[in-house]
Amino acid sequence: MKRKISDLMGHLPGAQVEIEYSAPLSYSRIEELTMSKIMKKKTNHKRIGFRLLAAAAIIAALTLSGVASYHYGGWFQNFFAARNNDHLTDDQLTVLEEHIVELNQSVTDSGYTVTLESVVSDGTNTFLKFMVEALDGRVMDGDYYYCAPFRIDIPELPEESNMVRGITAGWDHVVDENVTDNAAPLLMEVNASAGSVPGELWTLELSKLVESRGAGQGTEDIVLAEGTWNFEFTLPSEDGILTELDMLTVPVTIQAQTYLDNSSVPDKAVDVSMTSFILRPLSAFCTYAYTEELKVDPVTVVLKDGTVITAHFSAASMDLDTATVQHTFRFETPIPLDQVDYVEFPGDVKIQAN
Amino acid sequence: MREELILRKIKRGDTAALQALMDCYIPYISAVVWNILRNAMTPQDAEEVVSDVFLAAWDQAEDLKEGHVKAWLGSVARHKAMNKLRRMGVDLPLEEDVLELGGDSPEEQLERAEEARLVRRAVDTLPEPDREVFLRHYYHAQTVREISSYMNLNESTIKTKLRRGRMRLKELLTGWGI
Repeated sequence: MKRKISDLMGHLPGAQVEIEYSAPLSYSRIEELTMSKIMKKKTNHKRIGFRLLAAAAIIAALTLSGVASYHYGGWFQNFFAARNNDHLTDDQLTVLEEHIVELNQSVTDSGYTVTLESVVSDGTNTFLKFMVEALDGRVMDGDYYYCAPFRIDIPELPEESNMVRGITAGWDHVVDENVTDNAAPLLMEVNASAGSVPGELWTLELSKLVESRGAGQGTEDIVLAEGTWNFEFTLPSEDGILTELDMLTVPVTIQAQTYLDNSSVPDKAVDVSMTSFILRPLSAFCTYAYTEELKVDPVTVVLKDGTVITAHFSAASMDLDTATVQHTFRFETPIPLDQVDYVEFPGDVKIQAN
Repeated sequence: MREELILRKIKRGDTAALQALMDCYIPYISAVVWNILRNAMTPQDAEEVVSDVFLAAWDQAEDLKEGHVKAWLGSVARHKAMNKLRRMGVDLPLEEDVLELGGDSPEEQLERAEEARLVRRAVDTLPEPDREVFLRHYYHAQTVREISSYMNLNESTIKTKLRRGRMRLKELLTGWGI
């Protein structure tokens, strides 16, 4: 029997010998490809339920007002209202308006104009709203649109921070109010673990515009254009509208849970010293002293009018030198910081707002 | 970030940890994939294959064990690259890549796990530097000229070592029942 030696070698594990790294491949493109495939998987699985609710919310808004509110603040108001049982309080609306930055940056390539219309950001959680327009008049009636791969560049944290910084980003399913025209909205949600630096410059590179159809029933993705659309924008500065509430003046002991070895299954409860909890309108982050990442859940923000808002775990960073962990949380609805009554943590711990 | 911490965070879906894993191993995996695909595909196609290796690591995070991550990634990378070549009907340009072994009947053909064990054992019995030469060529698809340059040996010496390796492999595998 004849056998190929190269096939027999497939039985061997890798890394048997050290080889030279001389491949003419783009490492950054490989990273982008990998992350975009992962984000697409997450987005496809996660957001379809929201889309149906958003459609109902926008229909309701039109009925009540009689006039469609198509300015950018209105679009984000509808988006967040849909996440909050179709309702935002006046205080929440005010918070949104304070954190919306209108950019209106347009880039045209490969027959499509992509406009970064506006950004809502509290420095940790950022939403970027785009419109894409087909220059040849093609009707944009897909279920949703996204660009993949994409790349986001954010500056490194200051040297003294000791935190490893990472970002997660994905495309949300959003409703196109007019499926008969040649334009469609896109929404990207970005979370930067370990917070961000006010006034820092972000750069965003989008490529390959994709139209997705049949969400929930067997998705079909069609590449509309292999273009490149690049954007730059600056996050709000401290002098402007970036606000936060530092909830702790002294460390507080809360309960958290360890994970079973090599799994995401919570194991036993432990007491940890939480040294910092900072609340922002769309996110929060806590810092605690421990040698591994723990599960801190549930965390809820209670407003003075009794509204309860749940914090959703977003990401974690660990400082190995000081053995501290920082958790980032995100909120589905904006929080008016001056309306916060208290924040509740596991272990029946309540921290009053100052 | 320590490897143990990276693995734990990947298993929990932390993409920053996957980024850290890629920072460590993209150069190595790129070399493994490119050595196999360079005569048949573009760098962009090879980049897709490398990306699929790390996507596999993300999807099969439970299979990643501390201290064996590089070996796991390397094995998956080679497997995916070789599959690409097979689907294209392209062979690697290797020195006499075929061994004539016994075991033509179904009764004589070994189970895959047993064959794997014997192949590993056979390769491990090759003396150094013959073993390294053999693996560089038949596992990593490096050319005779490249191996000669990297190991500072004459090309004729490389070919001699490859021939000795093939003979030794055939002798051992035939003697053990493959």
